Amino acid sequence: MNIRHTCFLLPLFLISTSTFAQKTDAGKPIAEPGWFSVGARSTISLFDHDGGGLGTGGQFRIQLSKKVNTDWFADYISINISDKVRSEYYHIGWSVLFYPREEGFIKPYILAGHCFDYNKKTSMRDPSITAERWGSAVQAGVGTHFNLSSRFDISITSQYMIHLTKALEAEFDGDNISITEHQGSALEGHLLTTISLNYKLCRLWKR
Amino acid sequence: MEKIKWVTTIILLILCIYGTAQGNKFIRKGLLSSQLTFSPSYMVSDKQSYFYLHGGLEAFISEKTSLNGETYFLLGNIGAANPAFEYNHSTFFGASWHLNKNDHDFSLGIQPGISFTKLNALKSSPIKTQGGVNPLFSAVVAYKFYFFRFFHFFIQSRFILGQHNYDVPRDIFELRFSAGLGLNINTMKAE
Repeated sequence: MNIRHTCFLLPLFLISTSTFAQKTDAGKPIAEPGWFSVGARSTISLFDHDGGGLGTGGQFRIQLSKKVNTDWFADYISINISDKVRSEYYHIGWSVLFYPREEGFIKPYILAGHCFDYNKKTSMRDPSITAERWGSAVQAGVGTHFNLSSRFDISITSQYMIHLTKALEAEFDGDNISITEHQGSALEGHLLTTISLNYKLCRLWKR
Repeated sequence: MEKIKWVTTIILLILCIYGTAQGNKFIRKGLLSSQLTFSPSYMVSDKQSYFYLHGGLEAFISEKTSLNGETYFLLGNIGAANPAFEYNHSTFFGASWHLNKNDHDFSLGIQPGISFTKLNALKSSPIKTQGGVNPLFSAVVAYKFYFFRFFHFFIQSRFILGQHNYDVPRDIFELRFSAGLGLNINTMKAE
């Protein structure tokens, strides 16, 4: 890029950044306790012994104090195992979020929680070959809110979820598929990376 | 290098024009905006084209952010003798961030969703296919021009990522395009 072009681009860059810096409606993000927010989420599941998968779901949050929030979520994740078996996870659970800093456009947090999970594995071509189990899981991780306005944020969270239950195992022998339950409980899980959109709907209590 | 130079210049010029222009007449908190149109698409993973009936509703929670809900109903395919899907209906919910001035509105959005899909069984085959639900991730880029208190023009493109995991797995990696005339109404008075 030559100097002439740089001289042309630099004022453009300064004008564009200065005008937008003045005109964002970010406001001061709400951080008071009592706020109830709702939203939607997309999740990528990685490092599962079944393989990687994609999920979708929703959540609501109830803020308990300036430093503590709670996240109540439900999601559905579908994983393709070797193009032969579909592994479906349904999660419903909650996490507690702790904020090291109370305010700001970027608001990082650590979180930990618990959820109930249901897993069903089904042969893609022969739905009669199927097995299911109910279980429980714990999860912990880190994340951050990006407060785009006083009431709206996009959040990215990465947490590891450990299933505290017997795992279902899909086994392949040529074209034959069998789905069995492990004899003992295995501390197996998956890394869930979630992008969520949240809107603060109303304040449930004032203090 | 030459391309990067031109793209950078154009982006900065657009930002300058938006940044120095006057305020909005119609775009503000409380604006409800809806669209109903036909949307062609290109399924990158299958190299096939489909078209949908596309409906959407957008609610501005501030001048710069909005919540969106959109649904696509598969009407058919374009060209292919044996389209991969018998049906591939989908619905999305999410939010968008807006750059707007003079009622010209450029937005970027993220919308998680689900699709209801079923593969097209071959006519010669006795095997029936199953329908199922699949999680989707989508990103949306849109431009709208609000030219009247009840109407706007819009153009939108959406990138979709997912997988159909029934019968034979199929990647859902699709680009959808929509354009047309939309309806809008302000539910709140200007401050």
